[in-house]
Amino acid sequence: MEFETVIGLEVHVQLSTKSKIFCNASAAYGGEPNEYIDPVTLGLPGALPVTNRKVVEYAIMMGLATHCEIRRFNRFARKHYFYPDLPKGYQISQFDEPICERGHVDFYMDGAKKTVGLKRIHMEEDAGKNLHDSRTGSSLVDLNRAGVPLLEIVSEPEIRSPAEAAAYLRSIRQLVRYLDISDGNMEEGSLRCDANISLRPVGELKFGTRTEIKNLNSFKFVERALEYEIARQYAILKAGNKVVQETLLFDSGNGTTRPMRSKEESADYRYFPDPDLPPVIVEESWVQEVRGKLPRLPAEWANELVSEYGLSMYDATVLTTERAFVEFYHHVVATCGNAKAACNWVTSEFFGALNKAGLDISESPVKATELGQLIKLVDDETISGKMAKSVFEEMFASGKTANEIVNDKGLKQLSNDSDILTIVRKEFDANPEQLAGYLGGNDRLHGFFVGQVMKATGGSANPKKVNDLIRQEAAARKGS
Amino acid sequence: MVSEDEVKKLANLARLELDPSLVPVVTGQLNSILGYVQRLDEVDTSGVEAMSHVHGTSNVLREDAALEVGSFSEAAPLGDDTIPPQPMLDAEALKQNAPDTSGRFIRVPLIVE
Amino acid sequence: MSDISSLTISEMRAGLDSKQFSCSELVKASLDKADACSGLNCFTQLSSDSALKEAEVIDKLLSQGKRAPLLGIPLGIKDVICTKGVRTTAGSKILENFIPPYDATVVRRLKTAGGVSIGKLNMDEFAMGSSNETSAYGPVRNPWNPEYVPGGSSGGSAAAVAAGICPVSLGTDTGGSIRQPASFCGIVGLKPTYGRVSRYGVIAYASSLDQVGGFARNVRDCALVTQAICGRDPNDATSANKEVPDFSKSIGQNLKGLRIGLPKEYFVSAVAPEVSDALKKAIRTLEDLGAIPVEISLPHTDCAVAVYYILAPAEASSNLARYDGIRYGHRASGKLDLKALYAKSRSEGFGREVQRRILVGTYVLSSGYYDAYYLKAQKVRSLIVKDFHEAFSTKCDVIAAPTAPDTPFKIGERISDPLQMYLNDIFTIPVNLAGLPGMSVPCGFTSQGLPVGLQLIGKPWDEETLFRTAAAYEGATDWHNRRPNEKSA
Repeated sequence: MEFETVIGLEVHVQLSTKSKIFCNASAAYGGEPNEYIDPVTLGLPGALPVTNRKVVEYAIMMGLATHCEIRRFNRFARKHYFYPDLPKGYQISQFDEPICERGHVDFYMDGAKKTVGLKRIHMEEDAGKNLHDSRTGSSLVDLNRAGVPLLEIVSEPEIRSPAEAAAYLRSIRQLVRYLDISDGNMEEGSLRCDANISLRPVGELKFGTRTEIKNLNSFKFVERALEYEIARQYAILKAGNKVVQETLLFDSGNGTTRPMRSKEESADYRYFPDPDLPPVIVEESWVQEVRGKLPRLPAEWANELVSEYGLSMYDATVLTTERAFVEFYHHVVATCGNAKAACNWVTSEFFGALNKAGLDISESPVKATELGQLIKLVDDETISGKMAKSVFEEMFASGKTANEIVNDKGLKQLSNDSDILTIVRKEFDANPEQLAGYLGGNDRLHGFFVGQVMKATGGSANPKKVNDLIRQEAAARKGS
Repeated sequence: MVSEDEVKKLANLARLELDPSLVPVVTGQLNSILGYVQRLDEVDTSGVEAMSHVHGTSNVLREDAALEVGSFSEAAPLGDDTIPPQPMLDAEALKQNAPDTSGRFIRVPLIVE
Repeated sequence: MSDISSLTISEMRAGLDSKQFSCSELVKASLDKADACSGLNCFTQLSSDSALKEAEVIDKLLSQGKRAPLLGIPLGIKDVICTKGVRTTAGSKILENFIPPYDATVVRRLKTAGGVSIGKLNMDEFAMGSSNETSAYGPVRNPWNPEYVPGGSSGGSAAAVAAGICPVSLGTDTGGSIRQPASFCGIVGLKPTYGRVSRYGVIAYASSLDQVGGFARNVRDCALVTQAICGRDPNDATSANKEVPDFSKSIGQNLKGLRIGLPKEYFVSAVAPEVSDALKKAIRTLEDLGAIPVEISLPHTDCAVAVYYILAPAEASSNLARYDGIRYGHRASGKLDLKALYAKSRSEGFGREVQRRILVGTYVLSSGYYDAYYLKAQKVRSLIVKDFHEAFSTKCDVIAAPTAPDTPFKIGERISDPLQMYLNDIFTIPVNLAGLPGMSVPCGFTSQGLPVGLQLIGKPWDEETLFRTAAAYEGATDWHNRRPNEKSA
């Protein structure tokens, strides 16, 4: 019996607002423990939440970017459970009235387009952090993160493999970074993933029993945890037994999943609408306003790169990995008008230099327009392609523009036909034996003369012209 | 009606420790209250919207701005009508009321996951 | 300095402004009176030192010619309202040593109005109760007869004013907790429209029902304290963006043509005869003043208590989930695992009534019961709101009714039957459910000398009509001039 894998992901995205979702304490990462606290964060008696407008805006942005329906009448709900990192004894979230529903995410895997449906996106507050010290038998609670705004993005169970799960997750990350609503950093916890996974016989429509793996905090772990869990469930089902529905944690040390002890009793969260927070009504006008603020998204960019600029899908994918990349590329093309050359330069020389120097594109010493300028110098034959590479290195190291460097170092390639012809003739005359051989048909000596002319010009002669003029002069001499 | 077992489950859910000898009494009292509120079953509420906010308030939103300790003066001068934002707190304020702390952290018995 | 603590605010104002006495003397007189009346157990704590220090500062301001309606007036604050640096217990053991690091907005507003808090007032635990018998700090006694309850949950706030300790105090009202004690203590108490007064810093019981309001010995003083605390607060999303009128302007306006709705469901046989009689006389007085009584019907009245005892415990069970002894409040001692620590701390800290309501609330929110209880109650609530809306839009301008179906009872008499106690709130609860303003004014005494209250209920945001009606009634009667026997304090 063949089984197919059914995976659904719940992704939590921490929004990069300045303040928390329900109060003015800072939502920044990395403060001293319990530095960003106030009566609301601490859940003090008498404290009251007030909703951060930006969080609603970001939720609408994500909803539009994933083709969701944006709900008009929104409420927050209280989700009750007791845990030391949850100060009020309830989390303010959304229950049966999420702000976005019925969307989808498209992405490419192995050249094929995949679509995963989104069930819902809702707003909620994050909990604090616990550090466990089993030596002392105590846990330490830091509430900085309590109240930081989250979007919870729930996919339909339409993901079919661990690799697909990772690709889907990457595209979520790409979207939130394009929208600039989150830095999507899994290591720092601004992007977290819980995975639901079950197996069912191929062709079966009913879902099998699923397990939930919580708090996966790297793409690699997501894949590995799912691979392990698939194998584990497969072994159980193959043996004719039933999979137990439970919540699991992934042990990255030994690559296995194990049940979470604290989730043994099924939770009754006693959701009800939060009476402290009036509903948020999102009128069409607000949606339109947000739509107007949306940046161009990866899919749109990729389409344009392929259809307008004639790039391959592969190149388009590379360039649209980050919004900063494609916008940089776009400016390069706007400056030099050569899409293919720009693509080559950006993806190999430019990215190569950034990686080597360990710099983020925002720290690049070379601006997009400057790179465009460099390409133009090659295109209008001011310098050779080979020369351009070293000019680029110099640009990257010094921050100077291409023109500055070419002028300072006198690197303009020699393109004047009569100047080059003079040198060609000189070389011909200086090397009578090779000339005879060349004129006699030994084409390998063409390269010899190219080399001589290049040497004589200190490498600055336009190679194409050198080629052409050598042939031209040879032809002239043969004729005579 | 609730059984004594259900009452024990409720107490667990609400993190309350009920003295076993009191469970019957509490169960009786709860049933008397729940029995009374049962009368709402007879009220016809077909087509009636559940009350959300009694005056229909909506869209009370705040601008995204992070405040720091001491951002606003807490002085309350005579005749001043303005209400400052709620105050940001420092570690001292936390320590003043937290029963058990360790450095800047709040300390609790080990959480087992 | 004969009893200046029991002067009205206007009399205190006159005395202070004309330098007949200083603020320090006035505050001292209040504190002395509080001591003399300590048997009433009105206070969970007196802030003598800080009050006298503040009085000194105010004396300087007064001598500089500064004037303000409440400048230098001593007052008390129900212990459910957070006062920075001053212990705030909500009448519970679980907050026995809680010191708020911030002031509630109403406290700030009182400060900027110049009021001087002399202490925190005793109350039913977490505002759950109608007799001030569930406080962890002992019951409060009625100044008219100390064997009797003062009403609740703002029992301390009402008793302190009735006993002449201070002219005004703050209380909160979720199902009647200002109006009913005002009635039982023979004073004026107003619960403003839901959203008029900020709840920021007010320890929450039932978020969609709680409102802060003032007690006073007369309508004018009540208007002054209400004026001081009303106004939008950006820290409370449920506080309304509505302009606050000058309530004092309503005092002195006549009642000609004012239609007073008398809900037939409120004038039934279950009401004690002495209450009934006092109400009848009060309505006749209003008629004599030009008002027109109109019979109205609020058909869903008999559902109100049921709706309340689903919604309020539900919200309370949620609002009280934060009391776990981790960040503040009582934490159980001993080597306990986390779950046991939660349960022990909460069970040691919460009293029986609070635990009972938490259990009811947990039940009506739990999966499988939410629709039948919580959702149903919210629907019936809509019907109750509609009842009032219809009465106000077609039949009357203000509603008059008894505040309570009964007169004050003896301490300990009703505490063993929770449901019996709940039914006491039948006339006050609907007003909270509909978010309307409601006031109680004294309208008589029983043969045993215990006060009876007349309740006035207004349209949303129409406290002005309440002040107008109450002031006119007060002008035509003498109840507000009666004082409890000195010996009974």
